[in-house]
Amino acid sequence: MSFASLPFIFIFLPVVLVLYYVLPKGNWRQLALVGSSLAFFAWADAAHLPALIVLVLVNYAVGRLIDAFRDRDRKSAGRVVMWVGVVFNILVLIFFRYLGFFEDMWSAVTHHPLEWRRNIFFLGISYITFSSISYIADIYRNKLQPQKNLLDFSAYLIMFPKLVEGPIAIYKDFRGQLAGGRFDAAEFGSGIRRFIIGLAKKILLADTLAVAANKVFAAEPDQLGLGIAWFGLLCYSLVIYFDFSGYTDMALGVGRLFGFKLPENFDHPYISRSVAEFWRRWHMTLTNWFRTYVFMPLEHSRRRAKFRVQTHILIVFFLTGFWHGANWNFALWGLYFGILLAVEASGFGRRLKRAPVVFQHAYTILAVMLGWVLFGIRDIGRWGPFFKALFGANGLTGEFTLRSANILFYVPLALAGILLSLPVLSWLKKVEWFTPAVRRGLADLFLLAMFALAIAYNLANGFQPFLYAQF
Amino acid sequence: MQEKKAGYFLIIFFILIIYAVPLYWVIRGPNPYERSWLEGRYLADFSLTNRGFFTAIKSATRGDTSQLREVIQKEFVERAFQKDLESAAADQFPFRYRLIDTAKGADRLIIKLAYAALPDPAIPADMQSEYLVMRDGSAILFPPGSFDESILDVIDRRIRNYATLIKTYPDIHFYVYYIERLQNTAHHPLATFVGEPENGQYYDYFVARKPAALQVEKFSIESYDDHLKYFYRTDHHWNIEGILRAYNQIHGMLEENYPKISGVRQYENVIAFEGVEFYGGLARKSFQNISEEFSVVDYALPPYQVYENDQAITYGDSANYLAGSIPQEAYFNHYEGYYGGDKALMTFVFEDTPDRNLLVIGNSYDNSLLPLLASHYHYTYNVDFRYYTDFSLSAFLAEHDVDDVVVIGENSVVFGSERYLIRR
Repeated sequence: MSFASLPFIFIFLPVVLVLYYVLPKGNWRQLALVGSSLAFFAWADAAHLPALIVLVLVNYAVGRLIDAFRDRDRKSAGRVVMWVGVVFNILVLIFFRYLGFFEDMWSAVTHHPLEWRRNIFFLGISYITFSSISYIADIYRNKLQPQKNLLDFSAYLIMFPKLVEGPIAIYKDFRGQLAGGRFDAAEFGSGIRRFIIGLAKKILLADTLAVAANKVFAAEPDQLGLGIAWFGLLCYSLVIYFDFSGYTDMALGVGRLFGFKLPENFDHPYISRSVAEFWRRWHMTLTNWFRTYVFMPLEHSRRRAKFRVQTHILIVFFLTGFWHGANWNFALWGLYFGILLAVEASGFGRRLKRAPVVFQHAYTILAVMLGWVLFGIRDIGRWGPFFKALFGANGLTGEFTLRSANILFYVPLALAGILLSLPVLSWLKKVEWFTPAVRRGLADLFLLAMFALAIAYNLANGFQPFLYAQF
Repeated sequence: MQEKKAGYFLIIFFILIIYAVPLYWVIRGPNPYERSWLEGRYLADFSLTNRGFFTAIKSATRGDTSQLREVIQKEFVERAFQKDLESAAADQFPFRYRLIDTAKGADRLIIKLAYAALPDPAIPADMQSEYLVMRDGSAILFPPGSFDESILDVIDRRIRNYATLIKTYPDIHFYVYYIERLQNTAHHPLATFVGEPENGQYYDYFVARKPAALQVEKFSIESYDDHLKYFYRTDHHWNIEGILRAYNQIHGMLEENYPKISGVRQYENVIAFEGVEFYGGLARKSFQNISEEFSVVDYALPPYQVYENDQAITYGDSANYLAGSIPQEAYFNHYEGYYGGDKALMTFVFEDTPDRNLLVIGNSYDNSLLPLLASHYHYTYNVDFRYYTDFSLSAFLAEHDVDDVVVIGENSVVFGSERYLIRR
């Protein structure tokens, strides 16, 4: 079930809200939350419901076991259990996401196709396994005590607002909220606002601009002129941002409706002045996860290695890319950013800071947008011709034009998208027209109109799944 | 404090909205089999989603685990229930059409903004369809066709197909009636905006290479005004003027090998149904609020019978229309309503006519012509390859006597698509 779908907004959410707030605080509410999360999961992926429950139970047990061995001063046994838990989660991830990829690799090399199994969609598996690994690792590193209440642990791991696309909430930062709080109207109101903003981003911007981006990416690259190639890439850059940040806004909003503050995942990444800054603003919880649980351990373990930082950056970003999908294009996309970050870490970053601000922005947005070509076009053979089109090999205009592709009318939307990818709301908040109450009322009225318009677009065009739900 | 109070309005309105919608569904109750003429389909309803759910519950209470497993697999694991519920939530949403129209209105506003400084006489009708609307709202059009050289190979195959048929069945006369449409011509208002427009090149190629024995006639469009004269402004079909012109031309074409054909049917006057607002398919699909009048002529045809699968049917509702009983549903498809809908195979039987039979191959353009053409033959068979997909002429002729075969239609039907290849 998607946050932007009508059954979620008009059936699931109203029912779960009543259930949650009518029940007494504590286990009853957690039960409602876990039960509704299982129903939410089953709506999209009923086949893997038993596997999800097993995953929760195994990770709960691993956490308790590590703690039990720690209490008995048997750290080596705890270490074994920790690794068993981590490897178990990685194997689960590989089994459900990468087995088909490895089958294809094997077949390509040996010319003997394997008859194992193809990739089988398991809703939110990347997020669930990453949360589990961080939970297990933090218990082992004595950074937290395991959760003894199975309901609280389940609520943390599979809570529906963050189940499908994160954000990846680290248990030690989240545990304080598991006790639940009383209904707070201000938080509830801010949750509604955040939800509507996310819904509008997804339906009004991402889904509409996706049509233009898809048409350009699907066209024969040698028919694309420079102008339309860049326009398609611009649309894709906006689509991927508004789709994912829209989802995150909705997740954070829904979380707040139930009294939970999930971590932020985006901070206007397109205003970054370096690729390193971009990754501090884009999918922040994933970047943090890799920094904490892969990069830092690597740094500690290989202190004297040559080009240590650069090598570790490359490893981390290769894995980051591969995390996004079982395809070489994602791995190479990650490696591309790894190389850029390694170069920035080798001194270019310091020089960049001394360059004019305009250059810093231009370099970053160009690097990020070119990266989206690797991300958005899965057929690697098409990258070359598309880059040629981007750099004018086919001239300014080709056979495939904005008019012939019937996407000219996306130009105003793309311009609006560019504007809204900037911190416009923060700027608007500084404008002191009218009294604060009138400003609040007008802003809320505008949001309600956006909500109605998003529903209208949902009815008119149908609902499109979130891009990041596949990761 | 005042700001905090102002914030409560959002909470109250949001809560009201998200609870009012399901409450509306519960209070209104089931609403199955509601047809949306605008979208040309039946709307999904919650009552239709319940079946799997209740079957599962019944199986569980009966302890029938094998059926329960089967129902759970089909309804929930394979998501039939979820998809039905999602469709029902969308189709039964309160104020659905008004909301969709709002979204389309926003689309149109953005389109107008994007094209504000451009000279295009026609602009996209909406963001989903490929249709164009004239800036003054006078007509909705298909975009101009562009020339694709690979289509010439298809045309060659179609020509070989016609040649083979003519050779195989020397006693049968084969005819082609090509309906040229605005998008095939240089008269399309946007023809100059296409890199390489079609501009009738396919037809010229076909005519230059067709078998000599294949008689071809063309419903030609010589100007944009011709298009407005012969076709609906909001639908791709021809209007009564176009139907009459086509009938006369086809009659003339058939007459060459059928000298005893009865004369062209006469009519007294054109009847315009007052108060009937016809929203053609192009208007319906792009949600353009442009309608037009619906006119017909009343021919005094001799009595005849129409059969589908050997069952006598009433094809088209013309008698009721002429008697004043006209469907009043909004966005009703009057072309289909008056003339009749698409069928895989129909047989028109006119008694007291010469013992000569006709086979018409085509699509919905024929629907309005069939009774007129059939009135000159004893048996007239109509085949639509979109529905009669395994048609074979030899098998058909083994069961039916046919003297004349007419292929009627636009590019794809007549020469531009292999879907309409006539299997020997």
